[in-house]
Amino acid sequence: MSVDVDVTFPRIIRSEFIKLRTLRSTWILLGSMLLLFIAFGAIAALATTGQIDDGRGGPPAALGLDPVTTVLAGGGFAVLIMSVFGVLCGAREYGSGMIRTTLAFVPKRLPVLLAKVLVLIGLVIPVVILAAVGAFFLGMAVLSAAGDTTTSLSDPDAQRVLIGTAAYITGLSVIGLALGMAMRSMPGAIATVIGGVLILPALLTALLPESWRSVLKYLPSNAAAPFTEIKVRADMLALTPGIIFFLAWVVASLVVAGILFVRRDA
Amino acid sequence: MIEVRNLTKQYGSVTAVDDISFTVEPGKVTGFLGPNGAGKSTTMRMVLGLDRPTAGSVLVNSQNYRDTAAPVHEIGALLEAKGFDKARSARNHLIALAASSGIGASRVDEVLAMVGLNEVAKQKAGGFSLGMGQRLGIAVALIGDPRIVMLDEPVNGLDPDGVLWIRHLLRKLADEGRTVFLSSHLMSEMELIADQLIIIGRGKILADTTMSAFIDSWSTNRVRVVTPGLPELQSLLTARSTSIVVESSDTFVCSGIDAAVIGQTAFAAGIVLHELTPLSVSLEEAFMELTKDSVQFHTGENAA
Repeated sequence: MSVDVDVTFPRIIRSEFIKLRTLRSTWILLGSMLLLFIAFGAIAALATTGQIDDGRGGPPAALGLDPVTTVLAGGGFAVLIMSVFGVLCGAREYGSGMIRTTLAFVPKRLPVLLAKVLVLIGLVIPVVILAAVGAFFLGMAVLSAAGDTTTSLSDPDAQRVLIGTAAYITGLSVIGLALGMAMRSMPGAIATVIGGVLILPALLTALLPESWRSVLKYLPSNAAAPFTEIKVRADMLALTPGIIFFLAWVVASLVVAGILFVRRDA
Repeated sequence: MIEVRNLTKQYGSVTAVDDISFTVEPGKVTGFLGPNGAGKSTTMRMVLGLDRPTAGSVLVNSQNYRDTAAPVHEIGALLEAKGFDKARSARNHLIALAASSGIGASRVDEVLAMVGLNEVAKQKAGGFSLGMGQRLGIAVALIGDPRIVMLDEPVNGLDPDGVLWIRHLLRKLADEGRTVFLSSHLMSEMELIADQLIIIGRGKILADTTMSAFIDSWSTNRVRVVTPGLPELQSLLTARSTSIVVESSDTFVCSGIDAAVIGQTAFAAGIVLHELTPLSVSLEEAFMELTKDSVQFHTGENAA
């Protein structure tokens, strides 16, 4: 064959993108994240304004929350769904044996991992930004219609939390991918990412002695608090260290996944 | 060309491949024959760089596979029948893989037609039978117009029609000057396809020979001779025999000479013969004989 069939990095990226594009689960997960993020923002806004009765006849359930926190109430679902999506991107090929076919086509492994990460980020970022901004505007519209306090998108804190939430969710999906690649098992990696990010901080808060609690702020979900929460909490890191530590978690998980991927038999 | 040099692979304390060396040459079909668990698949995985050798090396067209610029053009491989995602269609599977080498949809449709999957190309591969999965794997192997085609147990699950088809295909690929390397645990299959035969058992190479030499040395004209005058008779026959294997102080097996000629020679030289037995062995029996010590899982009947 005289045509050029060299493996190049853009071609690997294209290959990895086609792999994700041709799986229905990709669109189901991205679509349900978009839907739930926006829908729960609207529902939380309605609940705050008292337009949804919680059935107990008391005051509105979410009363007292900041408007930005209220309209981003669906973020928790997005965190879960995108972590699972990341795990799927990393572990799925091990479930089927596809990984060995992939590596027969692209025997250099780090470019494969890197391409998977870039394609994942490229898919997650636009959808999660759309979801967060959609939830923001719809939620604020609901609050404003009821005459409640709203926050404008030009508010620096609102911008910090919107961008921060999108970045946090994207980062967790990357950690999910790294864990999926490292553990080669979807159930194991899903349990680890959800356990490590959502359950571990709460568990350690309950179990660790008072003097040890200061380490908790370095856990991924807490390190992200300064850029995902509207109120700056005294027991958490400041913004810059928060960004650095969260990024460090993402990078560290990728480094571990990369070392294992390169060293182990496929 | 595939050059395997002193290749060893250990998994923990188990040695799957034990210091093997061989060369697979272009222009012919090389069969890699061995019982289950002999180390065939492990060797093939090391050729592709999927498994890291414990020792030794493999060169693919004189290069380390990982360092090749266009891997698909060097080797096309079928290693496992189910090496695809069940949820993806056959065509999308090929399109995604081909994209990593800049190969487009028209070539994908070409190989799908070549393996006879064009009509089911848009169906999910998870619904494929074993035979269809093998055909998809062969399409994957052929897509980059590779100089080497390496197939692990390609006839598994194929119907008789498919078996015939793959035999013709492999012959054609070899005639085009490509290196064709396929594994099987069935001698009967190799007999029909292979020009060169590499037999492996318990991770060691037991034979590396042309198919015709293997047939010559094992089929009809092997004769067992028992004689008190072994050294004299052996020297008289050496020039005319393809091989003489001495089994004890008075017994040898020689091939390439008729029993009648041996009897005549012994008589002319005044050598006493105690036994002159033509040994007839089928190739399957020859293979069993060669690998009997290296079969991992004997059935009770054979274990004795």
